[in-house]
Amino acid sequence: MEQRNELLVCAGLTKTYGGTKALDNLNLTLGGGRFVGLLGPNGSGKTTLIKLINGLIQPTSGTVQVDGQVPGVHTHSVISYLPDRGYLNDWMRVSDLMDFFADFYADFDRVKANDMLQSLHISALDRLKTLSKGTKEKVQLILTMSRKAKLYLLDEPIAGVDPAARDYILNTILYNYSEDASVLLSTHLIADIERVLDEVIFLKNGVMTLHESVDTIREEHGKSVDMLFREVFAC
Amino acid sequence: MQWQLRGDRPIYQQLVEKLTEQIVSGQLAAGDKVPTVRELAAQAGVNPNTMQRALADMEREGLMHSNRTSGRYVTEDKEMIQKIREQIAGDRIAEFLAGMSQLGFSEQEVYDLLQKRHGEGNQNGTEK
Amino acid sequence: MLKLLKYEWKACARVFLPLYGVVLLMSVINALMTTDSAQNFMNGIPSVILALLFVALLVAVFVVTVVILIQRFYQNLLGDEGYLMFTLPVTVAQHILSKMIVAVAVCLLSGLVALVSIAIIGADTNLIFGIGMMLNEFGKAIAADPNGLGYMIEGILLLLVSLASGVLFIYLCMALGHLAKKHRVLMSVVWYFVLSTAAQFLFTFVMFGTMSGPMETLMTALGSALNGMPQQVLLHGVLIGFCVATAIPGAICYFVTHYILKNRLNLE
Repeated sequence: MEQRNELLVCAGLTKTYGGTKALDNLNLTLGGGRFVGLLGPNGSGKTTLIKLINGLIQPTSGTVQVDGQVPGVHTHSVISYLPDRGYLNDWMRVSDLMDFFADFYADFDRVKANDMLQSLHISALDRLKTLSKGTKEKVQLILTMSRKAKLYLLDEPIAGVDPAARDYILNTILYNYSEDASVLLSTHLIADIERVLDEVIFLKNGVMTLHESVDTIREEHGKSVDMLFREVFAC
Repeated sequence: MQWQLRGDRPIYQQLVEKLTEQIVSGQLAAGDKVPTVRELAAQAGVNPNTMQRALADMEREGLMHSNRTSGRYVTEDKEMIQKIREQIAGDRIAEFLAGMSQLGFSEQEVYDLLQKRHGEGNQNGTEK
Repeated sequence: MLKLLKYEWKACARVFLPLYGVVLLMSVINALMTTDSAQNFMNGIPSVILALLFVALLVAVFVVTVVILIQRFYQNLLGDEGYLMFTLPVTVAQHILSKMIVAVAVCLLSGLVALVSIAIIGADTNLIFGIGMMLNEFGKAIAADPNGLGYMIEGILLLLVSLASGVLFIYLCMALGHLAKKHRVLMSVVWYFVLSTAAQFLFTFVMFGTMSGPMETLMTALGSALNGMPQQVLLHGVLIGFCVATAIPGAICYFVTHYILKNRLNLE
């Protein structure tokens, strides 16, 4: 299988909403074991791309393949996805949610999830209704990172939490993804995450303008990705 | 504690510098076992792939060598460590002097200032 | 699939079990109020109020049943929770079917609870005895007639199929409404009226079609042919025919919904 090293393949991926192109002819291949930042200002197509990879929206044209297959039961079982919004319903407890994940995902590691909950001082018996917005985000992230998936898709995982928890969360992401797995993380808070990234992708108005390793960017431009980003997307 | 890293140069280069510093300062002594890539990456707060690249560079320079079964070790070649230590010292001094000359100090003036400060330092030492 | 059913059931039970409990409790209280002394207490005003409350509760049960049926599908699959549900490693068919099965079960339970609670209110020893007698007779009749059990199974089947079809029809309307770019809830309602009107029109059309024209002769021919048959066979035929007739639109609803959710899903 030559697909081995191609965890994610997007070919000519395009998505239009009404008349506007949210994503325009995107060609992208990601291998395993990479930590990739998906960077772009608001409305540049980051979430659209991630939803397409998950099969939550359908491409207008082009294809997405994950682990050699189009989005479906198999890709869902190898992708661990953190949406940009809360999907939690109010009436469950955190422990119910863990049951839910354990029931549906064979790769869910309950022990790991409990450890992380403890580190962030979240009780498994709490009802989701009683948790703050930031805490809910943490719970979702913990659930996402407690799976041993091949591809982690994290849509704005650090935007809504305080800087102290941000470091913990980044480290959590960094040291919990399995060695040959890849992480695709969308954000506009580049300075905070730059040091943990292998590669970055710049999206501008639905077009991929750059796909390069962080150190190559620093070598070639003599500046950080954050600074380059500010230049490229200067208003 | 994450390592302090700057934005303008490749991260792996800065990691190499930090690791080299740790070796010449004796934090990582000659012949010591080096922590795993994951541990070091966690310490520094960087991506393991980047740390891996930095460690590979260290090996290429001869400051570390890896053993297939037992892991990675700091070189036992103390002479070499000493050489690099002096080299770094030389670089720092040159940097310092360049900075002083920008402020308009001649090398002699700098030397006098250092002597004076050295004397004060000794006095403080004896008073204590 | 079983796991989906489990969580769907949990989600519904959380609302319905307390509601059923309250309904049954109210019916017991009402039943106690029918005693003479209670009737005369404060000119019987409390008992009237309680009776009204009970009726309101019964109505509430049915409203809640329908609302939950809609809400479970809309919120859980097409709302934010869809981000979780549609990234689970399960098929779209499993999603729809698990929701449908639980919805049908809830409808049945609501009906059953309503019946039981009414029975409790009207209960005196005679009535219970009467019901017992009836069930007994009914059992005997079924046992006596070799076709009896068949009728009953077919009747239950018909009930289930028509409930399932109704549920699937509502799902279809939501799925169609979801295709719209904006005002998805409104569009779902519009689709509901459009489709139900269309269905009624179609039904009337077919009925008229069978009453007149060439279809009429066909039907009379069919009728006379059927006349010759024994009555039992005819009844079986009618029941199964109804089952099939309700299952077909249900199946159509299912496949269209499945297609939309699988190939046209666009979560906001």
